[in-house]
Amino acid sequence: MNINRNNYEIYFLDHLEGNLQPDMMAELELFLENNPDLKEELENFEFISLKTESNNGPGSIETDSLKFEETPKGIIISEKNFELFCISFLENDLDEDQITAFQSFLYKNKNQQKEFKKFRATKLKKDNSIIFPAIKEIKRKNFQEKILSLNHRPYFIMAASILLLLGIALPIIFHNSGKQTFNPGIQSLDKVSNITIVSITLDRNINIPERNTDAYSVRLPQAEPRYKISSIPPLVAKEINYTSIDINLQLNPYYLALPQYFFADIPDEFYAINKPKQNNPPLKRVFNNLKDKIKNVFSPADEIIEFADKEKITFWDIADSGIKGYNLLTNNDYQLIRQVNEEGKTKTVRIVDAYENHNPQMQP
Amino acid sequence: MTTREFNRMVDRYADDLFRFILKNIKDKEKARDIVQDAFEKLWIKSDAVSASKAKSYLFTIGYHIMIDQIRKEKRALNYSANKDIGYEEPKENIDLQQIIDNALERLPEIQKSVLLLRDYEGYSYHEISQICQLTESQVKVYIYRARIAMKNYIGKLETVI
Repeated sequence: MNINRNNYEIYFLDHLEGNLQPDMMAELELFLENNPDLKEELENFEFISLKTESNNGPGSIETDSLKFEETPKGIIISEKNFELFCISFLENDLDEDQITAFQSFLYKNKNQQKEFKKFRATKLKKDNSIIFPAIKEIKRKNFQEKILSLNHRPYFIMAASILLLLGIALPIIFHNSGKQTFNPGIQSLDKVSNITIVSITLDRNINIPERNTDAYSVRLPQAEPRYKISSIPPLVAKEINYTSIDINLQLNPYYLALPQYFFADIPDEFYAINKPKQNNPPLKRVFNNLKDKIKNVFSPADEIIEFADKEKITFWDIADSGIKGYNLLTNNDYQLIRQVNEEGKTKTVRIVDAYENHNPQMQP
Repeated sequence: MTTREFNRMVDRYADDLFRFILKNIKDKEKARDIVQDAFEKLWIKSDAVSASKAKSYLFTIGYHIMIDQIRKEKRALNYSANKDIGYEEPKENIDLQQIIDNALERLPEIQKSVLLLRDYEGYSYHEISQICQLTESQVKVYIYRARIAMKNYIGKLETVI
């Protein structure tokens, strides 16, 4: 940077703060020789010595960051440095003695009071009527979708889907065959509360290659090492606590329908199960409110989620959503078939392929 | 930074950042895009940026996106790099706030930015120097010049106060 009449104050301040390198000091001296009118201004600057303020957070100003030399007559405020005093006062850069001297000076000089008023008017006030109009987009869906679409998207969908499938299938597998093959078939469950959910957590540190949306067909065995699988306690149904907003936006049983929550632009068939139901809002809408409204998703007696608007959505709606997501990823066409008794309670659960063939292998 | 912390940052700072950008560029759509980009970058770096540093990070990113955009537009329009700070008297029948807004609008970009960061966000000289990549002395001088220019623009204040 070369010194000129547009930037000389910076040199002055750096000089007073002792920050000028020898070559820059020489440059300043030469500049002053060529611009004698500014010598006087430097003398005014020299009336002060600035110290570097500490950084204690926003707005933290050391009161002694701007020191005025005290002559035997005390602090001198004149027309030459009045503007500097005004601004330093506004910036909270004056110490107590300087403030007292400045206020005393203002008290005695009515004309300068007017000038100071003008300076005070330059202090900007926040316009709180300006509000960012797209907070929800950043927080919930569009922004996350945008980010996830780069590399995580298929994995989130898959993880949520696998979560569901495992949650439903594992009890069947372990209970009936003892084999750890993925073979949901046509099995039945007598009690929904016996279902064990397996949590699959996406490791965000894994460098996942970007994928084309056409390349969703992911083989589970290949994907398995990418995920940390851990058991969590059996699903315990509880009532919704409307007042709580303490929900982590992570892959856990409360987010079984992540595909619908995050990806509003996925094909219509993804929502197929929800659309015909007049009484059920689309999962997308439900989960837009989920984070703020729900602490425990499942209610104790009847696995039904009841929302403030009295519209209902069930665990099975969410489960089906996950299976749709799995199908989307793997080009399969599995369905969740559930039979209910007269009271509306779950009687049997089956997962079948498009032709209702029994025992379809879940591996794509 | 967790997702919850990130969302909290959105709640806390989206309005502030939007206000700062909008006051600088006077274009709601562009300001909105810049804020979204800044938060997007914060999210991408959420593993590396702690919640305590998020605000400074956001303002730094937002400021530089804005400056890049302004420069591109100026190049496209062959626009003069610095606005002339005129000292014309304010028109009659406008209130003080309008005068202040006009005075602010006439400042060079850098002066406007440091003043907004100082007055709106209460940032220290050091923090502003980090955000705008200036020395602290430069920040002080820009604030000094900005207030002098605005004070001169305000002119005959007693007629409007």
